[in-house]
Amino acid sequence: MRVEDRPREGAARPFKASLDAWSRAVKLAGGVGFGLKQLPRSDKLLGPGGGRGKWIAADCWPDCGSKGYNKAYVEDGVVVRMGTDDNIEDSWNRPQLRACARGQSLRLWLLGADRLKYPMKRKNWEPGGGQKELRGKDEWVRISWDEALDILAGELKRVKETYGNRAILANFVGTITARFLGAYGGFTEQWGGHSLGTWMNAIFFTGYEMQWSDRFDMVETKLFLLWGTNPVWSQAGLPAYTYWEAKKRGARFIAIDPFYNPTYEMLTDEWIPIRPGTDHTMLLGMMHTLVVEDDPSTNPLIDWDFMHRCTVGFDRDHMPEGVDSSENFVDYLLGKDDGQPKDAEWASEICGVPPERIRWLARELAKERDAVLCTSGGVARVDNADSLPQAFITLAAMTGHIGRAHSQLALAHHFGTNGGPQLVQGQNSRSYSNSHLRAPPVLNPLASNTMAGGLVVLPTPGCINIYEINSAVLNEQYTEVDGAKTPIDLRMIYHAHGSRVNQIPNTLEAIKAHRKVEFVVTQNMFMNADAIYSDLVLPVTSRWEREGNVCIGYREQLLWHSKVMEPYFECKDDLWIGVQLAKRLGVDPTIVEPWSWGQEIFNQVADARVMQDDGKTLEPLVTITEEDLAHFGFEGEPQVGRIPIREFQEKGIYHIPREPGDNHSFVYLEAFRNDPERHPTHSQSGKLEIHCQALADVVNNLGWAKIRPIPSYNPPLEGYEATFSDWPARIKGEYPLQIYNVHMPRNAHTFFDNATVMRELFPHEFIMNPADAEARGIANGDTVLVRSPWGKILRTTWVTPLVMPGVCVLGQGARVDLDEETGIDHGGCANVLKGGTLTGGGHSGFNSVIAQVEKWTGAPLRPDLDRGAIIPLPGERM
Amino acid sequence: MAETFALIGGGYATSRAADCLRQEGFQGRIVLISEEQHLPYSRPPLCKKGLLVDMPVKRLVLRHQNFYDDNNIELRLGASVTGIDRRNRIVTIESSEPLQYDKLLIGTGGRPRTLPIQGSDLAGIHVIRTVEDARGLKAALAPGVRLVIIGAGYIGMETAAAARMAGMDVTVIELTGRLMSRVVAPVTSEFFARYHLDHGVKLMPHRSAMAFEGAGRVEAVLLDDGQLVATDVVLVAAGNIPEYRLAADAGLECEGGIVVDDRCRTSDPNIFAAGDCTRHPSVRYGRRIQLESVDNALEQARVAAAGMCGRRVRHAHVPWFWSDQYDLKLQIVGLSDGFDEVIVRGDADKPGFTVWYLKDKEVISMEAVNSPIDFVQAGRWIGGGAKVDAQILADADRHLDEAVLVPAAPPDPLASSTDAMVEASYDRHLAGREA
Amino acid sequence: MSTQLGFYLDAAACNGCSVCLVACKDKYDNPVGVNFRKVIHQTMGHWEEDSAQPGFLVPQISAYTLSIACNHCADPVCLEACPVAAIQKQEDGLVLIDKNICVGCRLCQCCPYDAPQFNEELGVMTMCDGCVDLQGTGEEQACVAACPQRALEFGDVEELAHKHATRVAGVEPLPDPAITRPSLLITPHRNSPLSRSEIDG
Repeated sequence: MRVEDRPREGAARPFKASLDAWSRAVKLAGGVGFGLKQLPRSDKLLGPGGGRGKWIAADCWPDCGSKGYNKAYVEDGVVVRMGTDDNIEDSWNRPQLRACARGQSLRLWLLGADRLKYPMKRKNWEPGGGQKELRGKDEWVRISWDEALDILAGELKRVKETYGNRAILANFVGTITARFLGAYGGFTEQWGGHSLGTWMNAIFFTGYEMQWSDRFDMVETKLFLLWGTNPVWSQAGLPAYTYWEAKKRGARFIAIDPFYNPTYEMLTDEWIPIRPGTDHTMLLGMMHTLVVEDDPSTNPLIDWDFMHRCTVGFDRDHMPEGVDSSENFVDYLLGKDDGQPKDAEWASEICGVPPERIRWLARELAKERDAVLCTSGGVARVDNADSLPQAFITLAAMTGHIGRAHSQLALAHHFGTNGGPQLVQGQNSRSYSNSHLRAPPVLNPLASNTMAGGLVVLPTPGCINIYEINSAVLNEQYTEVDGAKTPIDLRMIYHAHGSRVNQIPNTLEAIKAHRKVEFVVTQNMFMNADAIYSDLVLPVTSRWEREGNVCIGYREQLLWHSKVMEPYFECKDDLWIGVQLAKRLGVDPTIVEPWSWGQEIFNQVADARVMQDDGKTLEPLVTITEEDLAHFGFEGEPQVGRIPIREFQEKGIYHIPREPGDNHSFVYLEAFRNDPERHPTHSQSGKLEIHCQALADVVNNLGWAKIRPIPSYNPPLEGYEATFSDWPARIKGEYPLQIYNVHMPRNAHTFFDNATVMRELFPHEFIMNPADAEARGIANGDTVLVRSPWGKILRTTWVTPLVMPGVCVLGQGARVDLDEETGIDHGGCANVLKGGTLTGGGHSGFNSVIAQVEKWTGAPLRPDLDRGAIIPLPGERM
Repeated sequence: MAETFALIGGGYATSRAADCLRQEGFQGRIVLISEEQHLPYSRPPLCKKGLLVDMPVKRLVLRHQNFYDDNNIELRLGASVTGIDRRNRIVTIESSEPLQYDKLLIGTGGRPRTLPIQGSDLAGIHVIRTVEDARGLKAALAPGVRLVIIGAGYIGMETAAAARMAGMDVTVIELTGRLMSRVVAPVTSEFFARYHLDHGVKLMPHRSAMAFEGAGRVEAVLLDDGQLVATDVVLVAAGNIPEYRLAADAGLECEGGIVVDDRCRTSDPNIFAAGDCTRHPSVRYGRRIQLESVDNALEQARVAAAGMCGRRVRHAHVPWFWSDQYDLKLQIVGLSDGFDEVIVRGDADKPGFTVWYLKDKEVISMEAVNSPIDFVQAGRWIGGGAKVDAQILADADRHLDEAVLVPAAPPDPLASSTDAMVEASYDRHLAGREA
Repeated sequence: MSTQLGFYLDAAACNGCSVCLVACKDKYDNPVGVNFRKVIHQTMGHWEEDSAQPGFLVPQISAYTLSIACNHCADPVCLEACPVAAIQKQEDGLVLIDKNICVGCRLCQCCPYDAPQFNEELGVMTMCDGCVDLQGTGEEQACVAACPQRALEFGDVEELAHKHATRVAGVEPLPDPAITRPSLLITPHRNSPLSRSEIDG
């Protein structure tokens, strides 16, 4: 770094870029002696009592789905340390919204040595490409913003004029960046999403939506089945604390999962290990048990009243109108159609749970009145698992746990743990991707006129399924919603937020796709995998460097973050980039930015609403006086609300008071259970659809699978059965192990993954059972080569009995670090192992991965810390 | 095939070397062999608090078991090394499997000098090296019991202080004219002598023990001046002898200690040595020195570990020492070789004073009595070659910084150790041996 | 009787999320490898054949985490091992390293809790100081304030012992509390065995 490039005020102190540097320092400095060079900073005053700085509510926007409150202590423009919520006295009734480890690392992450500082182009880039094969290997050259914007505008114009707007692939760039792209004539968008797996479709059609009961109701539950959840790692913060409250009140917890994760360590009384992707069979085995053992008079196990009134498709007596009664679920369960009863023995063969254990769990759930069946998207991120959600819904319905107090089927419950109408309303999104200007939306004419850059969940004409993106680039065709294979000619890839190369299955294919097109641009804060394989990289500001943000916490909090620091080096906002492009390309800039970001946030604050004690009426959250308007300098009207606007800004958070028995309690689907005719679900029949034709149609139209409208089991392509070369004879195949793909504490997807502090504290290990390791001569800490049909990675192992035999655990989100010579990824990117197979409803299938593992005989893998920080410009290292 | 590094000895040098080897990134096998049953432990407290209260070894160990477990360091405790077969790189161990090594570190320390005089096999005559030694001595201590200490070095005087605090009748017999004469200035010796006298210790300088008398058990010490000092217990604290028998038997070059170079290499390129058992060339002092010093053992361990991993690090460190007696902390930094001026700063009658050795105005050594902050400053000055104004330095009312004429150079991370000539001569030395 | 400050850990509530570690690291700007606090993950047990269901392996395991920093021991071995008297015990019981006196010899690494941490950049040992700089500001210790499970507290150990009705200072794999008499109070995780001497009584 040259002297004139020193960070301005507000920038970071240098932080160690790598372990290499650290260990060098250790080796160079005399080990013992009189080496005191400076007093540590902690000798200075840090606290608000003596410090000269102030706390500023600081945004944490990465998309883990949780929300914690973070604040930054800023002294003379320098962010000195982080803090969390101490704005109210902490109590169970009104808990502080404490941050997680990732939130606490925000300062060290955002101000790390590897933040991008300048616009850069690939050295050998030329208009139209220029040695495209060098993407990912080329050198970087620092350029001015003028040059960068000229290049980007030039390529957009050239591609548009030569091939048309459809040639611009800008999948899920977010609504801010997409404002310009939409106004410029549109772009090719994706549909589908990762998080919820097959629930993504199911919640639109089955009548069950992703909603939860109020936490005061929830903590009185007696039995929790935690079926594939781990909020401690995935949605850290308040959810685990909420479960802990239930535990303290005496609830029992049973985990059903291949991996005994930290959430289970804290909570569970029982662990039922189950193979990944086989949950559907276990559910069927449990339901079979209930059907054969139920006797309404002597052994009531099934909530027949609910089944009669509120569901369709369960048995011959409860079929939707006009449907052949043989298509009912119970007949399938009993094997009346295919001769195979889906009993516990059948299930056990596949899922690995002893049959008696399956039956035991079924009885436990059926006999406990106050039970919650908690599951997650992860369980449904399995190839061909389109019917799995209906199996969960059916089991919860049969056992009487829908629409009743202290009972619920709770999908992604770890994400919510607290349901009901939002009590403090504002920008009703916790994370980055859905945040947008509430200005008149810009539409994307090439995506059926959906909001440009918005999340397109369901199959939508003109859009490409997320898992077909890379093959669409390479093979120049994609699948339309009616299954038609449709030609497409993609020439340019535009990345704004997210990390597509890394986070979409088949990363190796993504790299090929990125080397095929004529131009790739990435706007990011760091050299993520998208940026690595780009021609042009634009450094963007973090939320800390923008004029604040409003977002909800959980049900009871609204947060208002302020600007923490000036933009880092030459970083610019995504919105600013859009405006500059508009000016260069003849688009009205006021379409892109109709009013300033500051005005937008002010408007959102003014419009925030809070629930009154009656539980029905909303009132404005903030009072705004004429003096306030003058102070802020934004347009607006005075208003009367619950708290002064400046108090809200200073604290950055408002918590609504709660107490047991208040008017805010909520039980999901209670109204439906009580009177399904007056309070129908949104399904076609208005009931919970065990037989769901609409879902089957959407899936079957795409042509990737053929499913029945009832929850029948469809084996995944790369599930347990596929670990055998001969399944009937039980002969293991080339890839005998399954990989279970989890969120890890180091990162929220790729966010935080590069942070030195996170790489130091949270290793990204390949987790194996001792039996599997021993059989391969692998010891704890060894480097292993992991092979799947799709790619190879190196990892160090953590050999532990916490994972079941036959299953390995690999966290997702680590940045790919491809050795081009061997084709082996040293970064441990999970999508190098996961293929780009298209199944069912075009959902994610991250938990259907098969693999083989061997001890690596080459040099041991370098610690991840060594490759955490990528500083692309030579000589820039701090 | 992973390499095996063997470490012989159970003290500071070997335990620190094990730590440093892992920090160097060595991933092979590390085996630490100690003839004592305990984890490597700290010996200095044995003649201080160790004589006053029951000190379990758990409170003395240098690193706890979890350190050895976490770093995958094999321990062979209670194992006595009987020989080193250099040709086959094998360490033979009494009643145990021999150990094949790739690199070897000898850190066998020293053993207390015993007196080859009549009666030295009588009961009641002690030395202190091990925790068992200390327990043996402690068992004999009680108020009013008479203790004669032979030798007024650190161990002797520390024991004297502890014994007085236990209410014993203490007599110290010293060959020279003053306390700790090998290591401190006369002014400091005098201060300590006064302090001990004030605490009731009887000092008998310029004398030596000629014989121990008693029937089965020591009852008196006969001095060279003919005096007979009646006693119940004797501690022989007449210095330590480097323990280099193993090395000598294996044919390594020894000279009152294992001869090593400034990278802690012995005359066998696969064998290193560190700590009290070595004689090593000091780049700083331009001569071979043998130090009985915790600090030196730690520093040599670091240097040796680097060398065992193939990295060139040299021992050019400023040595420092300490001693605790009563409520006094004596700290010494640097060696006073060739000083031309000694400055006393502060009142030499009271704790808190410091003694500075200058050579052409450069600070080369310093002694501090209860003055730890000045001690750190002196360490920096000596390491960086600072020059000072002696007059200002002597004025305790003025700040130390005011005395600086030439500031200390910042710490040199490479420890200024590239001495091509030493290197070349060592290489020639090795070549000659192998020929 | 003088006060003795120390930590309380609800090991039953601790889930190893490590916010405490990051908050501490952030506050003290500690470099890689220097951590005043650590989260220890203890795993016990194995898989065995299910006697009721032959052919099935079932897990007989348990695991838990402990977040541990300097325990400001009543009888600190670090203090005794320090040759330059850089480590002092304050009247409030805090065991603090004076960075102006420390020469970085690392002998205080004899701490069985691995609390003293060598900071290579500074050339001295560093250690949890109970956020002594926040005393009187009304702010809690960084780790305590950050804990999302409310599993950490800091204060006078007698008061903490009374409040949480526990005298436990050692659970596996922590060292025997008899060594240093740590100012640490633990509500053990349901699966955690006590360190040896606590079992002995």
